[in-house]
Amino acid sequence: MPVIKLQNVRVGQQRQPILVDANLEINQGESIYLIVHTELKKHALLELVIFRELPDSGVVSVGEYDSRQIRKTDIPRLRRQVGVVFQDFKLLHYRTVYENVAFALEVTGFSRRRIRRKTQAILSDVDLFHKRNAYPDELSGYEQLRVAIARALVNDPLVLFADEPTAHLDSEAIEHVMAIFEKMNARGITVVILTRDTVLENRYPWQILQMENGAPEPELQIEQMEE
Amino acid sequence: MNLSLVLREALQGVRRTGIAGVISVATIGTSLLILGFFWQVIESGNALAGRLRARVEIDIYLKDGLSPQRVLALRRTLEARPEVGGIVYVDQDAATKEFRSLFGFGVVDELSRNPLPASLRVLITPGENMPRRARAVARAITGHSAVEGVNVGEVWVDSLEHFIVVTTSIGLVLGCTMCFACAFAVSHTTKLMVLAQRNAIEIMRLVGATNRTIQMIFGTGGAILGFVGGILAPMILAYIAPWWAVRVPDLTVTPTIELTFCLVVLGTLLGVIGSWASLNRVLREIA
Repeated sequence: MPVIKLQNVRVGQQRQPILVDANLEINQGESIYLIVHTELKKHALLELVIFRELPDSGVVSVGEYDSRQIRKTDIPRLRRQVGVVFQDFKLLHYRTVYENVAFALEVTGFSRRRIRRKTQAILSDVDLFHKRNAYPDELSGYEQLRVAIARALVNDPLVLFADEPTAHLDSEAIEHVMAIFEKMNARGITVVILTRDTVLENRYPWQILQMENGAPEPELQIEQMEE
Repeated sequence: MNLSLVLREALQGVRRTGIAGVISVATIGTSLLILGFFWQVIESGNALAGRLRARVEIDIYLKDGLSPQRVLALRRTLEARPEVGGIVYVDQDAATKEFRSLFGFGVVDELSRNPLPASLRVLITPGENMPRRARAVARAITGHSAVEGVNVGEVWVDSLEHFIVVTTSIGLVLGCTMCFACAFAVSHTTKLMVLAQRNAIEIMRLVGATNRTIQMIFGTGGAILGFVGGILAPMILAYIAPWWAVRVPDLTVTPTIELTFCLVVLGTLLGVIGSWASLNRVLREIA
């Protein structure tokens, strides 16, 4: 059953097409490398799956919602089903690790007891419970990444998008981060890593989807590649 | 909706505005202080005018040598009028005594005969438009064969009423201007608060917070700023009231409980309106 589906999606910016007739299907429980060659397309794709942008044409479906029928009031509910780890992590520097993660639950209306329980659990999952009272500026980049992963996962999303999560990590850190993703995937969460890192594909052989852009014109297609 | 979250986030937002928040509270406080000051002056002025209106009276000076029957007839004519609430006959001796009490011994005692005329002091029935009704009585009686002259002593009441009308107008204009200033100040401060929290808003939206939650948080932030400004205004007014009372004793500006309540509510309301106005702009930018 697809959790993310793009059908003939076209997205443009100032009359310049970014995605043209893009098709993509990601099923529940899959772990995928999504190869996207430009930042612009990656950004457009992330904006589409959290419905920050709607397609100019075509249909984007995420879980039970699709871009033709979704109401504005449904968008917050949809976003609770899609966890996103941004390259710049988007952490709040005046909040502790615990507060950064708990914030995602607080603003979506969880009870205090559930917030404490879920936050502590996810911090243990990413091996950061001992750093729960530290501020992001006191952490390494690798630790900040894990805080961002914890925040994206704490709401039990259907799908997790991680934008170049391993870009600046050493091999030991990559191993640890991939172990976290595999653990979450084993729990049923669909994990999509947006990457250009081909080394990763060799070490962790997940399904690969490639966003191609072979033609000189700005048109591009997303098509499923063989593993 | 988690109220403790809303309050905590709002307080954090206010704290993060720093000096802009202080300026905003000061602007709201000053605006509401001016508004409250005029309100209280108008209230006191109205109360004073009410007290003075209750004493509006006309002195009808009688011609010399009138018989008691003619005085009685004039009195009955006056008593028949609805504007007249009471009549006191002041004979020449009583008039002299009053003159002496007002001006001391002097010219009157030097004269061979008492020059002060007897008079009927007419009290106007309390109610609306007492000066106008006093003038109506005076007009009706002027020219009566028994009447030497009429003194309508309501001119100063007119002046007071004019003063109140002017003060009310100034107060209203200033009040409205100040309300706009308040909303403007809060709107801008909240904009700073919102911009300072832009990352937090973005994350709130990414993790699925509803617009209502975000509006509650920032609306509460604006309300806190407005509330503090609203509390400050009556406090300052109470502080300056004794100083003012020494200079203008009849127009006290000591804030009443009603005024305090109104200023606090108005400040809070302006805070909420201002913050929502700026927040909605930012929310449109961050989809």
